[in-house]
Amino acid sequence: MALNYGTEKDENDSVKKAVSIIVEIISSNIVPVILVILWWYLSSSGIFPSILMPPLTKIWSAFVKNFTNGLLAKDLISSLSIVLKGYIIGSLLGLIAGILMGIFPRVKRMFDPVLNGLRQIPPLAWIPLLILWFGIGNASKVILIIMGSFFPVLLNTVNGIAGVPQGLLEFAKLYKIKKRDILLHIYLPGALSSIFVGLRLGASTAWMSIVAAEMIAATAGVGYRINDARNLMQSDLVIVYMILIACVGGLMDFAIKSLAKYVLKWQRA
Amino acid sequence: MGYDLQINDLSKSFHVGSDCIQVLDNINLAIKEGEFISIVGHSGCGKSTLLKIIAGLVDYTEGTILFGDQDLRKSTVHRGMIFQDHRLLPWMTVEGNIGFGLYDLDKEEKKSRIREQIELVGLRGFEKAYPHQLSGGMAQRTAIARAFVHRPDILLLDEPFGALDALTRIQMQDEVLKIWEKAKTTMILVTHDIDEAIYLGDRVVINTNRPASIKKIFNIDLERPRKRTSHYFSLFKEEILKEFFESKKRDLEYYL
Repeated sequence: MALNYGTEKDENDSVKKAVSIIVEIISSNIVPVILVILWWYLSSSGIFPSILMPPLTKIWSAFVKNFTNGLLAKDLISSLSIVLKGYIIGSLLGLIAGILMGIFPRVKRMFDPVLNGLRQIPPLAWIPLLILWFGIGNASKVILIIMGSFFPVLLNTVNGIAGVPQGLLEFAKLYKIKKRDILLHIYLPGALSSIFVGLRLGASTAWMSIVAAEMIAATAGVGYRINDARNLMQSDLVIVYMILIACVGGLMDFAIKSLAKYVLKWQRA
Repeated sequence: MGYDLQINDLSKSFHVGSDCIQVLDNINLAIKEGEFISIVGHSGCGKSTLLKIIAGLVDYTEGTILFGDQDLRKSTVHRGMIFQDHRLLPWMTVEGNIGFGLYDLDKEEKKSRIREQIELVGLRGFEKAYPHQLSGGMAQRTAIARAFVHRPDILLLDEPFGALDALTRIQMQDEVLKIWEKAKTTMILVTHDIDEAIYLGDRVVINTNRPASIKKIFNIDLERPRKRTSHYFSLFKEEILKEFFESKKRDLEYYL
């Protein structure tokens, strides 16, 4: 009897498990599916003109066409190379400045007011001045990305360094740990998870800034193409590029998040 | 015996805002090489500050501390310290933590010294574990190994077992004793656990409340290994409790 009862219970459990998995899958996918169906219905019913709301088939064929003729890749490479250049320089500067400001209170006091003021200016507001100074070429965009990624990395590095427990520094003083080791093995690892938050924020700011900058002044790139397609009333292409921007942004975030998880493996329980 | 620790007329005050708060008042204490000293006092009485001064982490206002015939501030005496929290680096393994800061040793020597310490505190098999994977007792063992790996002349223990459960605490006390008997390191323990103070110390120093000064020193002339339940042990406990609660004029039998 007892055994019988046990198997019945097991069956019940596995059914319950299966149901909960299905519910989980449905609840996490239902909203996007409804949105796609809604789009499909609205665009094919003729309520809105197809020039404003292109049907899914048209968006798909615009994607295939621009993917095969290489325009998509060309724009993506153009934008990404600028973002990457600016992001690497900006993050490095933010990291170095953040470490200095985090460790030396005097440096922080010196630069805090200026940096706090500059930080309030959104990257987009810099575009006019940067174009005046550096022209509409890549240089002004790289500088824009540098500024966009610098501040999030800086602020989170300062916070991370400040959050290193005082007890660890006391221990370092007691055992006369060398300055270089204090930096590399106490300050940096202690601030690392906070630094990664900054790197993620910086990447998303950088990616948004490049799209905006290219919409204003550029001859190639994702932002340029989206604006160009609007001028030519190619709403299908606009949507293809919007989806592309979302995907690339998501991928960059995922990549940094994965890197953080790998580097911070000592945190895993 | 050139390596005694001699504390003369030591005073310390902190500035908090515009106020000047005196934490240590005229401390005089001579500690022999290899001696185990327990310091007992109410929490916040400044006993941790005394340890930090001996450790060289905090400066003092007046007085002198001599190690041998050298001023402690200028001396190169090796001091280790164990805190209530283990203060291990979370991103380093047990092995890495113990070996961190072991300079001036070649690779092989360093390795064997780390291995020896790991054996001594019974952490074999956990060399590659990260601190978050250890229990509280194991983390504190790692901290003890890290302190001893530097071969300190003086080991300072700042309520080292305060965060552990009662059973682990007793176990750890025995292990510290075992290492002390082997290494003959001078030990200075700060605690508010009177049992612990008597069980471990050659002498028990009773501090007054802030500003801390030495009220009385008990010579614990009990043979080791000591029994916590023995009659003489209880007598010491009674005497020490009296020091703390005599002003309140309570019936001391109550505490026993």
